[in-house]
Amino acid sequence: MITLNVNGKNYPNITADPGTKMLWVLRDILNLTGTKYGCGIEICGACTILVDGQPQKSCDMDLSEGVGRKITTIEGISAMPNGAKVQQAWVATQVPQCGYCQSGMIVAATAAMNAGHRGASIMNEINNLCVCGTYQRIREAVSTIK
Amino acid sequence: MTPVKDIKKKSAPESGSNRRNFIVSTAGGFTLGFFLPSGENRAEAATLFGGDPTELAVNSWIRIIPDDPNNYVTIMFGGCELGQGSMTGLAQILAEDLMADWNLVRVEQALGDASSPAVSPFSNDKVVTYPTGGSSAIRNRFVTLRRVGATAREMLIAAAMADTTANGGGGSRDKYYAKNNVVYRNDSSASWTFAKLAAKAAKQDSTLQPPQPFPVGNNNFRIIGTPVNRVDIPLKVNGSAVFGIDVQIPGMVYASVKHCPTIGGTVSGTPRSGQGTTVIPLFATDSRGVIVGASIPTPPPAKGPRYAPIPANYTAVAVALYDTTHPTATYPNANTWAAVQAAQSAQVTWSIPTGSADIDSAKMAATGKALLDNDVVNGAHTAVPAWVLPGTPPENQGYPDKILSDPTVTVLTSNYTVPYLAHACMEVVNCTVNLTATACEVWAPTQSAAGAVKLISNLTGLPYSAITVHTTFLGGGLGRKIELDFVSQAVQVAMAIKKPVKLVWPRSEDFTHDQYRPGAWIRVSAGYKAKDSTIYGWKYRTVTQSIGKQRGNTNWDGQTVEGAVALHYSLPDRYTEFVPHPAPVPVAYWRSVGASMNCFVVESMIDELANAAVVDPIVFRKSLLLQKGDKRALHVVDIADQKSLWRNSLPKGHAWGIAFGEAFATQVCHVVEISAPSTTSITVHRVTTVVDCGIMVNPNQIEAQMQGSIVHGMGAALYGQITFANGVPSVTNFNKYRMVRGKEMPVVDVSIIQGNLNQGVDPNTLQIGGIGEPGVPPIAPAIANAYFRLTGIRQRSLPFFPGSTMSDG
Repeated sequence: MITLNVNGKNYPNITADPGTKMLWVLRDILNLTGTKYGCGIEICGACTILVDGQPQKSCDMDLSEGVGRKITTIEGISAMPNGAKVQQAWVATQVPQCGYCQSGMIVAATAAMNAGHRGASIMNEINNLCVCGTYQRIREAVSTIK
Repeated sequence: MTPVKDIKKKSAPESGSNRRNFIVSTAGGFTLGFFLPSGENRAEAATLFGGDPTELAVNSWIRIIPDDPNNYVTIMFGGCELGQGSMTGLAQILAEDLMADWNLVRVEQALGDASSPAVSPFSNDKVVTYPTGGSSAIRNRFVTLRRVGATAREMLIAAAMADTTANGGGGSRDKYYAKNNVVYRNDSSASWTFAKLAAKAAKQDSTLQPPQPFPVGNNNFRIIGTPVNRVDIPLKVNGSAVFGIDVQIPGMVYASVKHCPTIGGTVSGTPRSGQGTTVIPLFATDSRGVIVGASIPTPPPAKGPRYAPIPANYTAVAVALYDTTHPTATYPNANTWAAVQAAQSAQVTWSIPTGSADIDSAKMAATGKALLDNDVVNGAHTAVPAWVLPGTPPENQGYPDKILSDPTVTVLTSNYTVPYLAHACMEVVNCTVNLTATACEVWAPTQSAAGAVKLISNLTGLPYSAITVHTTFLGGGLGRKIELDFVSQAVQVAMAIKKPVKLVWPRSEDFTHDQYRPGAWIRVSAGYKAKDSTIYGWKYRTVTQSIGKQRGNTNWDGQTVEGAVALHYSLPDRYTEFVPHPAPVPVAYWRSVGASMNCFVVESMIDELANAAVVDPIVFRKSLLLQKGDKRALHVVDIADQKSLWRNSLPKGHAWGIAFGEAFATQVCHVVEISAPSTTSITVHRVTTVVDCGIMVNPNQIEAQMQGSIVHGMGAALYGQITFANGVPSVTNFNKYRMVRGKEMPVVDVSIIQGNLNQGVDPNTLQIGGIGEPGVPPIAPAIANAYFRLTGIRQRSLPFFPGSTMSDG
C-alpha cells in the first residue's frame, strides 16, 4: 500500500504496482487528468509535474519514486503564488489554442519562476513541445509576469 | 437536454446556405434552431465527412431561458474546438445581430444527439453537429449565423410588441430596438430583458423577415472583429478542460490496440494475451470507420452479431484490461498504460499481403520520378485513368507548348519533392463508449460527430435516436480526427466485452497507423526572358496519391492540385495536370491538404523564374498580379512589401524570402528572415505576415492561427517526414519526428487586411476566408526562397533536414 501526497492532499492505500508510471497513477487512479500523455518518452513535456518543487516528466517516473515526496500537478499549481501568476498571464495573453500541452507548460513555467527566472530566461527553461505553436504568446506571457 | 416537444415546419427548405430557420418550442423556453451548411459543396462534404447531401439537419442553436435572472443567451456550438477558436468565433457572429451583450453570452458544446431540440423537422433520425474541416467553421457559416441572430432579435422584439399597452407594448416595429440583451422602446418608456421575453418570443413567427437583415453595418460591428477572449481558455490553464483522453465513466474498462507493424497486415490465427485481459480482434475499417471486407453481411442483421468472425479480416487487436485491484484498496489499479502494455505484449501472428511491400520510399520515389518523365500529350495521357478526367479537367489554357518552344524564351524546368507527413497531434486518438442493448453513448475528440453517429448506427444496428456523441475538446486535430477508425475500434471493443470502455492508442500506434499527408513528385517547366517580369508558358505536373480516390470517390479530386490551379498570377498559357501515384499508403487530410504541397512548388518556381530573369522577387510577383488585374492579391503582396522594409538592412549572414498563397479563400503572404544554416537547422528570426480573410471575426485568433500555422509549416518544411521500408513506417515517436520548439520561434508580426470589406462586398453574398489552415502553405517556400538568397542553393526537396531527431525536453 502506497500513500501519495499530491497538491497537499494525502492519497492513501494505493495498491497499483510500484512500477506503474506516475502519469497514469495521477490520471487514471487519482482522477487528476490535467496532466497529459504526449509521447511517453520524456520528450514533449505534456506530463510535467513538480516533485518537491522540481519539474519532472511523470511519464517515466515510477509510483514508488513518489513516496514521501510532495507532488504538485496543474490542478494544484494555483496554490503556488508563481503558479497563479503564470495562469493569469496565460489567460491575459490568450496563450492556449488546443490547450493540451498547456498544463505541462504552466507547470514548467512555474518551476522556472520558483527557481528565480524571469522574462526571457523563463523561455530558456521551458522546452515543452506545443504542436499548435503557441510559443510567441508564451514568450509574451512570461515577459509580463513580475 | 430538453427533449423535443413540438417541432413545426415553417416553410419549404431552400437550397444552398440560405436555409430557413424554425422555432422549436420546448417547455416554455426560447430555442431557435437553424441550419448551418456543412461545406461549400454539400455533396462533397457528405462524401468526405459521412453526411447525407439531401439532409437538412439542424446543427446549432441559441437558447434563452425564460425569466433567467442572469439574462444569459446560450449559444450551442455544434462543431469541435481543436484550438482554432471557432467555439468563440461562431458565438461572436451570432451575438452581433442578436444585439446580445457579449458578457452575457454563454457557449456550450452541442451533442451529436437526435433527441436534442435541434433535430431536423423532416426526420427523427438526423444528427445535429457539423464536421470541422477545410477551415470552414466560420467562412461557411458567417452569413447564416448573422441571419439567425437577426431573426431571433426580431422574434424577441415581436414579443415585446405583443406585450400589453400598460406594460409598454403595442405600436409598430420602428418604435423598438434591441441592445445588450434588452429590448427597448425608442423613447425609453419601457424595456424588457431577453429572458423576460423568452417565453413569448418562442411563440413568434420564426420566418419573420427582419426589416434590416444586417442592422449592423460591416464597419460598425460591436462584437465581430473584436479581440474578445476565448471562452475555452480559462479551462485550459487549470487542467479542467476535458479532452477525449480524460473521459472517465463508471465501470469503465481500459483498452488499447496493436496493429500489424506492416501496413496492411491482418491477424492470422488466434491472438493471445495475458491474465486479466481480453483480446479482441478488430475488423478493418474504411476511412469512415465502417467495417470493410466481403465477409461482412450487407446490410448487417437487425439483431444479433453484426459480423461473422473471420480472422482474415481482422487488422488489429485490442486488449481490454480488467481491474485486478485488491478488494480493500481505496483506488482501482486499472489504467491506460497497463492496457497499452498488455496490448503491445499480445501474441499475434500477422499475415502480410504482398502489396505491403510496395509501401517503400525508395520504390515510391522511383515510380514518382518515372511518372514525371513519362511525356504527356495534352488530354490524351494513356497513363491517366478515366476517373481523373471527368468533372474538372486539369487547367489547359492558351498555348503553353507553343510559347515554351519560342526561341526568344528561355525554359526552366525544375523537379520538386515533398514527403509524406504524419499528423502528430499532441493528444493521441482515443474514444470512450458506453454501449447497452438499447443505447450507445460515445465520447470522442472527433472532427466528425455526425459521421460518428452514422458509423455507430452502422456497427451496432441502433437507430440514430439511440446514439449520443459527446464531442470533447481535441488535443489537436490537424485533419487526423476527421477519421473515425478509432471510434469504430472502441465501439467494436464495447460490442465484444459488453462493458463501458475507453480505448487509447499509444504514441507508437498513432505514428505508425496514421493516415498520412501524401508525398508528391512535381515538375514545372516555365519560360522567362531576362529583365522581364512575365512568365512565358507554364506546365505543371504533380504525381501524388489522391485521398478521394483511395476512399472510393469517383469524381475528379481537385485537392491534388489545390494551390496549383486558379493562381492569382498571370499565366495565360498554362497546362496543369495531376497524375495518380499508385502507392497504397493510407493517405488523408493534413492541415491545408493539397495547398501544403503545391504552394511550396509554385512559390519556389516563381522565385526561380524571378531570379533567372534577374528581377526582384517582390517586383516580379507584383507585376504578375498586375498583369492578371488581381487587385486583392496585389494589395496583400503590396502590404507585405511595405511591412517588410527591414529586409533592406539585414546584417551579413541573414537573408529574406517571400511567398504568397491562397487556401480556403484566404490569402497569406509571409516574408521571412533567416540565418545560420547548419547541418541540422536554420534560424528563422522573423516572419512578417499579411493575411486577408475578408471580414475578420476575432483578430486575436487570426493572429494566433497565423503564428501556429507558421510553427506547423516550419516544422514540416525543416524536419517533417515519414519514410517507409517494406511496408513499415520509419517513425514511432517524436524522437524521430522533430517539431519546432519554443527556442526556435521566430518573431511573427501579423497584419490583417480586410480586402473584401474594403471592396464593399455585399454582406449577403460575402465570401469570408478560413483561418485555421491558410497560413501553413506559404511558409515552406518563403524559407526556401530565403535559403536560396543566402546560400545560392535551391532547396527543391522537403524537408530541409531529413532524418532529424528530437531529444529530451
